[in-house]
Amino acid sequence: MEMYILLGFVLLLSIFLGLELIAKVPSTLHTPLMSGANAISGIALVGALMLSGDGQTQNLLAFGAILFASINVFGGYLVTNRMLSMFKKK
Amino acid sequence: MESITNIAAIQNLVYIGSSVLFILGIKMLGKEATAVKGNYLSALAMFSAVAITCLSLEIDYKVIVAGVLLGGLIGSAIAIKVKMTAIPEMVALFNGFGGLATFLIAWSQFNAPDNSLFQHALIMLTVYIGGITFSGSLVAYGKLSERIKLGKGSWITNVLISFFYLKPSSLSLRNI
Repeated sequence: MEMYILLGFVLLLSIFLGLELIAKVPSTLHTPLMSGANAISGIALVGALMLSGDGQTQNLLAFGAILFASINVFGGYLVTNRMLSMFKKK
Repeated sequence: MESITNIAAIQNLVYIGSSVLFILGIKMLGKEATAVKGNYLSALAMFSAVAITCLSLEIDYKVIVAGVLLGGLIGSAIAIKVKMTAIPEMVALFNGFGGLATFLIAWSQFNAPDNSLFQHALIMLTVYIGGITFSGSLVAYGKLSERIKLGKGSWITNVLISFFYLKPSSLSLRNI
């Protein structure tokens, strides 16, 4: 049970951290920031990696999770980079 | 300092380093001068977290390599080829894929034999959040790309979808 309390503590701190980080961002950067933050949410990939190797059903679920999380990670970072390169040209 | 040589300890240290890089990355993404650098920093954090996880696993890598390669290829292809004007709906679609991954992870955990009641509740919450992220992002994709238009009755669908995700038997495909 102590572990869950600790995890709850981390969750609470990260909620405040998110508010602090995003609060003062200029509105022109909202879209790339949203896309970048979405790419970070692809960290679920780490969880997906730990799933594989325990029977056929589990491997199928793990493969699906890894596949979609990878699309999110790779696509997210590249799209953010493209958006930001558009800013530079101005 | 003996425990430092332990792979689990190193793994956790790398995770802490990644968290710091993620936070700095988001911070830098919030300023125009440092935005590009911030994105690279956050990508580096993602790479190190994934790499150290792969190193500490003691299993068959086929599923991982196939999934990451295929996913990376599809994601990169979409990100590079999409038109500039279509980027918002692609971000919505990527977000939906992230939700789908979360949904599948929770489903896999649901199949684990010894979940406590509290763990089970957390798993169902994760299934719900992942599923709503997926279906909601698909609707956002459809609306942004002007493929679908929602009428006034759409809240009924929302309620029905909620019930679908909350119903444990929707997931009871334990023995395929």
